[in-house]
Amino acid sequence: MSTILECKNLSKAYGNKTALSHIDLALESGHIIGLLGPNGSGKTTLIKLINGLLTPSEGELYIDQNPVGIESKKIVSYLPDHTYLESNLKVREIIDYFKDFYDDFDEIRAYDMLAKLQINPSDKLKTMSKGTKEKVQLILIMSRRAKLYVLDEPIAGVDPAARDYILDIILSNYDEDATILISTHLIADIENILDEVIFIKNGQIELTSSVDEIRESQGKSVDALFREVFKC
Amino acid sequence: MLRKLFKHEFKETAKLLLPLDLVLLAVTVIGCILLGSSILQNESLQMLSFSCMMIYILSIFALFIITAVYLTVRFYKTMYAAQGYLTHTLPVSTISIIHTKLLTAVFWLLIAAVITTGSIFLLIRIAAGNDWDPAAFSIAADALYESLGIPFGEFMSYIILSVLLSCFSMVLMIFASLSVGQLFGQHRILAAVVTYIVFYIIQQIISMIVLFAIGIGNTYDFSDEVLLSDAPNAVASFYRGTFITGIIEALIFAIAFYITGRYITCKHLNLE
Repeated sequence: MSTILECKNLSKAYGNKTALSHIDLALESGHIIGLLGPNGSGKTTLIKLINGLLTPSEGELYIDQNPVGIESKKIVSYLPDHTYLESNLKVREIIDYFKDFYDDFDEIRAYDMLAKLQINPSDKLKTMSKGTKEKVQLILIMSRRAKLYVLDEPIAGVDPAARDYILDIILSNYDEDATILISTHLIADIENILDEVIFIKNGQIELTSSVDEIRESQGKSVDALFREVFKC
Repeated sequence: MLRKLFKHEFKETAKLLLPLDLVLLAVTVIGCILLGSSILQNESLQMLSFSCMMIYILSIFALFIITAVYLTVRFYKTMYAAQGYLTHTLPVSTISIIHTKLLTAVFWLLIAAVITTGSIFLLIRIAAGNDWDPAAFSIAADALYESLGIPFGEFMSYIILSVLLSCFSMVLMIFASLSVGQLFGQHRILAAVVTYIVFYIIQQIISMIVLFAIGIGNTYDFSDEVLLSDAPNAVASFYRGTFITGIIEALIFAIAFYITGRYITCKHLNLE
């Protein structure tokens, strides 16, 4: 196993407001990791920094030994927490776009998943429901054979039945040596698939631990511990 | 990768802009047919003639306004709003993305300028019919030389260069304004609009100062305060100076806007 993500003294401030404060973090590859924290804790800021959508105020960030840039973007597959595709495009056109830019994009896998969900590739995104759009985005993201998948709130906008299916898509479509970083506050729904958790609070890492460790040492589920740590 | 970026950018922008350009071509063809026939010479159809003229002028305005607004909105949406999440996570350099978008925008503006110019010339030629004097261009060139003192070829070079630079400068000013706007935490579009207005005012003030300076420089000889406007080359030198300074000025502004937008987008990208 190697280090897939490394943050050294990473900080991000928006004007006077500090969103992330001096974070040191190293994630090993081959795990499913939950990035857990309440709203405004800094989860999305960290994710945006990983994907080069924000510039750090201080510190360094490496993905598989590479600083954030072209090389890191080749191996990170990112699902934002909102629709980010042109709604006027057909699913087929978006697949062509992904195929053109990402060498690791598996077209067959994408069409296969679309067929299973009975989504017509010739449909335009704007004709789809919010839930279907989210499924299309997830299918595109999980059809890449990336080293690191970063999923920001992948189950927040869909009904519980769809959540199970989405988790199934995630679990059945990644290689074992790849890493998945999932940000969410719906812990109970994903607890069973997580290997490790990172608790983030007020822009600082509160806890990094394996799920088994939490269960053994604390005798609690991750959900119960989360409620305790982040009690209002 | 740059080729792929251009391919997708052209494909997407052409969906709206190509039909838009074709509309002006269609209006031109209809204009040619109407002018070529004797319909519009009938005095009872003056209203039709006037309406056709209005539709034509409106088409030209619509072409430029829609092209500019669409390219600005698309630039904002794909660079600094939701779709920027896809644009900036592609495994390509930010500079390649910026260049693709800027050059595609300039391309469509130039196409609009070329189509409009061609269309106007064609309609004038058809309207003149048999009265068209093959020497019209040389007569116009002579008249121009008499009034401005600049040869036609040189004059046209200034005009073409100015149009080219204006397209670049306009696109780059919008790019710089949007990039400044995205630095703000809230009201980013408003911030971009205000930045654009500020850039515009600065540009106008500097242009006026420069123009004023050229005017004075060409009209007076400060050493003995003799008015030089009667000197044989004073007029030509004034216009030549104005054109060349305008071109240099536009070039400097374009470079400044490019550096601003590029620096902010590469070093201080701040997506919502």
